[in-house]
Amino acid sequence: MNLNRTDGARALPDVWVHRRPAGVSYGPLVERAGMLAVPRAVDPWLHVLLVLTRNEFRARYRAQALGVLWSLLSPLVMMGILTLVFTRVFRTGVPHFPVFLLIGMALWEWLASGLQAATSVFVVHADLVKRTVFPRHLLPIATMLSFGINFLMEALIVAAMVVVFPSAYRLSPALLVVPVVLLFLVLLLTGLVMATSVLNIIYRDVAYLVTTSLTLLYWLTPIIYPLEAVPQPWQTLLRMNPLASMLVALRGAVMLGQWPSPLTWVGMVVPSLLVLAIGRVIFRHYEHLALDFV
Amino acid sequence: MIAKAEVPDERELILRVDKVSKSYRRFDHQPFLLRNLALRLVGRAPKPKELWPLRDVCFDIRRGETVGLVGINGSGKSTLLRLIAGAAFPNAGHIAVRGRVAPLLALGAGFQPDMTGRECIEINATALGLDAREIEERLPAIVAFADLGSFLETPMRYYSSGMTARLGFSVAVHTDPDLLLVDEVLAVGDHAFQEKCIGRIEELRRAGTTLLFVSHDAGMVRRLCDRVLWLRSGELVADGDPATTLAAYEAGA
Repeated sequence: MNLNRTDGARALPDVWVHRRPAGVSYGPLVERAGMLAVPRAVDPWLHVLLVLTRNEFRARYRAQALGVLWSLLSPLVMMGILTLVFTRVFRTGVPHFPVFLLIGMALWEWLASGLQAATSVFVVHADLVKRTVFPRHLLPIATMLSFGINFLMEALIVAAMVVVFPSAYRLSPALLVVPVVLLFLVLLLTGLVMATSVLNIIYRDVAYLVTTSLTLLYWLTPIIYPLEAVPQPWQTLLRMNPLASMLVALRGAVMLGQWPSPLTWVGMVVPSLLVLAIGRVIFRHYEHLALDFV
Repeated sequence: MIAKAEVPDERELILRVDKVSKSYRRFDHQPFLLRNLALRLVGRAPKPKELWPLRDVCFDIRRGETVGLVGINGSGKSTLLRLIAGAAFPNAGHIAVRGRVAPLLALGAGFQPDMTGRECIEINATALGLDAREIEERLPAIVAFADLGSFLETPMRYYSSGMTARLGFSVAVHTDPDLLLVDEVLAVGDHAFQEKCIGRIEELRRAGTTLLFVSHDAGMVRRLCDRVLWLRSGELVADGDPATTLAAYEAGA
């Protein structure tokens, strides 16, 4: 604590924050046209993001007996049921179906829960947005990332399954693909939640739209069926879904020790970056309007 | 003592509010209801009423000033503070501010009932621009000032409203702000707490913190401020020394 600070102990920064109808910019008091804006340090934001993510995660499991175990239990139960149905009733030809399924479900769980929670985050935390000031876009991103913690725990289950199904796994350098795929998943989700969270302030319909779209997307993503099982004209169409390419890359790396094909890379990288860019634009465009609606 | 004269005026400036206007559209119907969207397509929708909580407000604040903001309810005081803090954006004009701004727009704002006191301190101090090390350093002072006692690790739902208010104020005044924005929050606490807050505010003033604060308590404004702004229906009608401005306000309001 520096209570005994003397005059001018801390100089005011020369960087001014300018608030205009068009938005925020940083620079000297008198800005000249065409001057480059001074970028703000990224560092403190990272800390805000970490604290928010951790608190979102903790808050979700407060006042529960099993807490975080719930998030491990539900995919395991789903895996058990679906494995039973698809190996005993429908008889899928997918080798090592439980592992195949578990990878798909872990990824889906992150996307679905993260997207749903992050979409309504500004409505839930209206007070935080209205009465305090901090980089607002971090709130949906933190919510989305907090479900990434659940994903990591489910990934541990996937890894632990090696004991039960040793032949389903290949230990190979191709496993390096996994963090890269997850990075693009985070970029994709960031773009998605930035758009849906800010639009949901103005149109509360967005939350319902997201829920409905997720049901549709679930079947358009090769979670319980392999992409190769889809007949050709449709298979190419399904590849437009970046989640399809991500699952193909993940399963290939973990279960077969394969590096993703160029087509898979393109199907993963291009849509993710595109969604991120669009999400950012939407957020910036609607942020000011949305603030008056919170 | 604040050595104003040595420093050139340009460096001393901390806030510039330049012809700032804010409008809200007040919807008395649900504008996005499908029926109303359809009505809008054929040009039959009821028009939203325009509200102008602020019109062409201009003033500068220099470092070390303690400025009171007075006006009756609905005159735009809170809107002005929200704009300066960045919790809303102006519809016209320009606000320039520098240094660390600590807005105290509502006591206990952003506190979730499920979070513990420590988590709330962390979130709020982080939002106000402190890093992890600074928070760790200041935690004892924040807790002591808020008089939390053994409630630090307790979820906020068990706090009394006074404790929540004290915690909110304590976090904001311990972030070492360059500009502190206070929106009428001192009215909440009991007398002892009010005195403590005023003591802390005076401490911050001596340390060079600039203060802009909203109050309906003319006595408090007279005691703390060296300058008073008076807002009436969103327009700045007076800007001057406390005695003159408050006399005009009390006569006019």
